[in-house]
Amino acid sequence: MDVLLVEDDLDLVDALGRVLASRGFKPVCCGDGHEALAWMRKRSFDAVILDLSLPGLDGLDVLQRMRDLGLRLPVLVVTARASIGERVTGLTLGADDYLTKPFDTEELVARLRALMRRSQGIEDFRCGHLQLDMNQGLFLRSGRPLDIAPREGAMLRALITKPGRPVSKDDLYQAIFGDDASHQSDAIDLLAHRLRKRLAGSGAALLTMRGIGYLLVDELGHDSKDPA
Amino acid sequence: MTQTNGKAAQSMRKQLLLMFVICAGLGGAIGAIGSKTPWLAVCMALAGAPALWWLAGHCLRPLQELTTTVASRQPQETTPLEHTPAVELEPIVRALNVQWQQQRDALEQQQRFIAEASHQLRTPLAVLKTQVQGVTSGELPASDTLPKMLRTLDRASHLANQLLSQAKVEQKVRQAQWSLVDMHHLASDVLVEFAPLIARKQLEVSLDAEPVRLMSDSWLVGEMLRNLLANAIRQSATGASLGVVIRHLPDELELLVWDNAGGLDETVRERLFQPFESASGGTGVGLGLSICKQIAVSMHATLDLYNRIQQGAVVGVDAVVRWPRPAHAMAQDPAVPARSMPHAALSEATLRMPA
Repeated sequence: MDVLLVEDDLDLVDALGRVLASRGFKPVCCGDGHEALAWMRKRSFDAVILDLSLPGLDGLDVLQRMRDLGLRLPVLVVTARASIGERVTGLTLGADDYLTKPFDTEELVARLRALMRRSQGIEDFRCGHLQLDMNQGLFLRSGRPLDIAPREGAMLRALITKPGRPVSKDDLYQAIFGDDASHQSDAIDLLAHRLRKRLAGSGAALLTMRGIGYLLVDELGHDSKDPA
Repeated sequence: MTQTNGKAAQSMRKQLLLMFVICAGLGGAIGAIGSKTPWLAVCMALAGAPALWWLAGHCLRPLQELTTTVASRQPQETTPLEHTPAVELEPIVRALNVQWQQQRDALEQQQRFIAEASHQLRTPLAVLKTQVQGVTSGELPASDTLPKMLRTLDRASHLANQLLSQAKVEQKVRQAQWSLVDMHHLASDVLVEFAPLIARKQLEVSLDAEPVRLMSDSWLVGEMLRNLLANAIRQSATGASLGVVIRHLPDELELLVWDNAGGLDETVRERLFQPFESASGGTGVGLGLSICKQIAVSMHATLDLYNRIQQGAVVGVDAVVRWPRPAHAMAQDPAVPARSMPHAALSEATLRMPA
């Protein structure tokens, strides 16, 4: 897993490089935008970690040049400015995800792995001991198929594919019943009640955000973004 | 102000001179028509000119004196003027003194903030340095100290974020971009942002919002709600409940963030709105509520904290923001009529009383 780490702070490069290496990545480090592009031209990488504030050619320019050159590597932007992070993940600038400094190294590694899996088309979703096998369309609990009714499965699928985000009742209704408008809106609450029982002991819990929707929570503590 | 006074004196002098020329011209013309000795009228008019010039200069001398005094002050000088050159100039001097007093207060407040911020920022750095040196020298066990260092770092990061937020709020308050803000959507978006924190503590969250649009700056209202929610989440125990209510009152619009995390001590309630003041035992850096208050004041809204009473016991805190409801400042969505709030906790919330 070759990763290009583009960061001009030497202390951060040193610490992060060691962490990445210890987690099985092969990091190549550089502190300059031009050098980063040169590396990308002469060698293939599985992902890029890109700081936005770089001397010479800054991170936004690097992203733009990568797009112009047709380089479609997954890019995880690291920035001290959250507002810019939100913009770079937009389609126009082509970054795949962002982290705001200071970040948690566990989170960086998790996001990097998720990006690489996504770019290789091996997207799977996990929550607690639950896993959605996208190839077979099956839910696994601790590696074994989970016995779940179709509508509960549709609800769980809608929730697990949006990790860390609540799903509104309207979206859940659409995911479960499609265009069939004959069901009462409290049918979602009833399904949620059943699903909650089904998930007991799975390390995943269904949380109600009344007025917003439902949120699938990883009780084993694999949450990601922290806005505070 | 100095320049303005100088220009005023110059302009007045010109006007007096013009009046004199017109009077002299008119006097001369009338004299020339009505008298057999028009040269006498012209001579009299010309003879009065120096006297009028001297009179104008004498009248304007206090204004010139004030102009010189103000012009000679240093830009940073804010002491009041004690001497007023003339009675007519007293309103100007009073206005100048009020402005300098406000400038002095703002400077003092800024200096206090910087001193406190420096202290707050340097403290975790000092702690970190001590911890690193302790581990390096072997006096402190790494397994015990490193997690503590992580907590110190988190606190310093949070403080840096809050200081940056405060700076941004100050800038936005001056350059607010007013538009109709859909309060339900805004609150919903903010709650979604907080989903990871809500998930971590497995909190039961609710949003009860009447359809309301408020003429305001969406970033500022969002930032205020973020801070109030962050406080409520931080204070709440795992599995506790909290919520946001947006509703119309007879003369006001209310945004309420409630929690079930116990009450506030009367002695700290008002202090909490001061920078770097936090509730005893709190883990915040003490800037959130001060930022919220600043935003509320900039929108002519009020922000108060109340202890919520249920069955005779204090169960939590209500952070209440209220905007007055002038017809031009708020528009209720005509498509969706207002409804009464169905939420049971809300009726309890009305039983709140000051801590």
